[in-house]
Amino acid sequence: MKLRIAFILALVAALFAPAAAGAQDAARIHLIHGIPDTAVDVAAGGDVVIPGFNFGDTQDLSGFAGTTLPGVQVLLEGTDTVAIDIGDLPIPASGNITAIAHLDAEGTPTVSIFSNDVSEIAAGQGRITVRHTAAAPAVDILADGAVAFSNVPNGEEGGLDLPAGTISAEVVPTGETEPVVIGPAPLPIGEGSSLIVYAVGSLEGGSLTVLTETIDGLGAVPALVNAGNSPVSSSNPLPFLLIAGFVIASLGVAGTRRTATVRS
Amino acid sequence: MRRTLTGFAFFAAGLGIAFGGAQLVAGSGGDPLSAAVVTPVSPVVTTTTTTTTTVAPIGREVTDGVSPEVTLSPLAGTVKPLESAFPEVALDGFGEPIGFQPLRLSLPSIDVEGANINSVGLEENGELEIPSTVDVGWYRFGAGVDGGEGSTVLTAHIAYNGIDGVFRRLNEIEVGDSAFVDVEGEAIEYRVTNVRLYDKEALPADLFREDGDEQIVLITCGGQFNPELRSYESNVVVTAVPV
Repeated sequence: MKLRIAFILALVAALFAPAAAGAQDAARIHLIHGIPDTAVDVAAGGDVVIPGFNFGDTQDLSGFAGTTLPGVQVLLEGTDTVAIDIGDLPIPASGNITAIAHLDAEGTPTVSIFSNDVSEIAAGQGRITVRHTAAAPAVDILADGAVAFSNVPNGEEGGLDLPAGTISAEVVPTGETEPVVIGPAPLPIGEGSSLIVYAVGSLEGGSLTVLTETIDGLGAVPALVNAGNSPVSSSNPLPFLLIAGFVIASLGVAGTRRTATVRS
Repeated sequence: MRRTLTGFAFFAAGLGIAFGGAQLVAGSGGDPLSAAVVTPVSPVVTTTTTTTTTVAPIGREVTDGVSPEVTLSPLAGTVKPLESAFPEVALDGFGEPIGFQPLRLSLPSIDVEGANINSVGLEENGELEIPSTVDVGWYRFGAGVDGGEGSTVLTAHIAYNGIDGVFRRLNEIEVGDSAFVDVEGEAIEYRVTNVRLYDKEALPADLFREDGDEQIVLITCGGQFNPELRSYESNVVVTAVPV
């Protein structure tokens, strides 16, 4: 019972904690359920708002941004048993935030609130972030066999931008090669996209697994399109094939110069 | 850039709940989730009913045989359930390129016939890479063709070093004109929906979006030519959608 209450507390704490104010135009507030085998309902104003909130479920609470939910209660799933009476609950007005209810290193339910990196990603690259939210000791996070982040404790994260493609990711206890916490697993690095991986569950309990979250549309766009440096050659437009023929004929002369200038 | 609630004192204080020094401690080691036999008393639980003291396994089992009527709040409509965070669902399609690489472009109304399309990226200074005057460039970091979503950006010179480019007459194209893009032997037809001149510095980032309605965007230079800077002041932007 205590545990369940602890989890529920964690859950509502996630809702309640003030967001780090970001420069975002609109808030994006997601809530992930990251504790295996524990289910609840969340109610407001006497009626259920989030029914059957289960492990792995994700809810978008952005619609509540900047508002206050009245009379929030957390119920044991499928019952009208009020586990905790929260009262009015203010929701942050801005930021790109993910709250995840998860186990801490010792296996006690807790909650971490992460502010997601939505800075621009260079063209051709993607972003990978790994968050340690499992009941397990501090870990090393390996990308393609090499340690990318060392000694990451529960509740912390490591992230970097990589060329788009697929990497092999593995999570192991710090300084060890086993037991393997996660992987090795192929992870897609999407161009202009951010992949967030949560290690969840319990190492000791054998329930380790991963949850993921993606954020798209972070790629850089061209700063400028400079598609010409001279006036058109004639007011009477030449047929395209004639132009092409002229260009091909002059390739021997102008080829080197053209190549250089195209890259300028 | 993260914030962890290391304890619930903050939380409890914020809610005005007397926390009574309760410790949220897991059972005596082992998997905490199986530690169902714990002291049932918690100072947090409201004591108006006795059901809260029932010792039961954590999880759905507690609801066996109970089917209370659930009244959904009007607020429930504001909560948006998202895809499950389990990777097989959340990663469906993630990281895969959108659509196909376009190979050739035809714009019959301005006499562009089967112009070759090269893949282009960005220059080191962040500007869009433009191919030689006889070619069209496809911005490979945007959407491909026929992927069901996103904006496929195709660019070409108006004129370079005195030689007219493929998009020499792009500003003459009209709404309703046809465009054809070849993808692996198949020609996909588009209808021009918009022709606009943008100040170069004000080119909308939305033209390069990778989601939303499928479209192709043709971009070149146009407007006033500045001989001193050897540069045009504007961009001609043509938008077309699949027929």
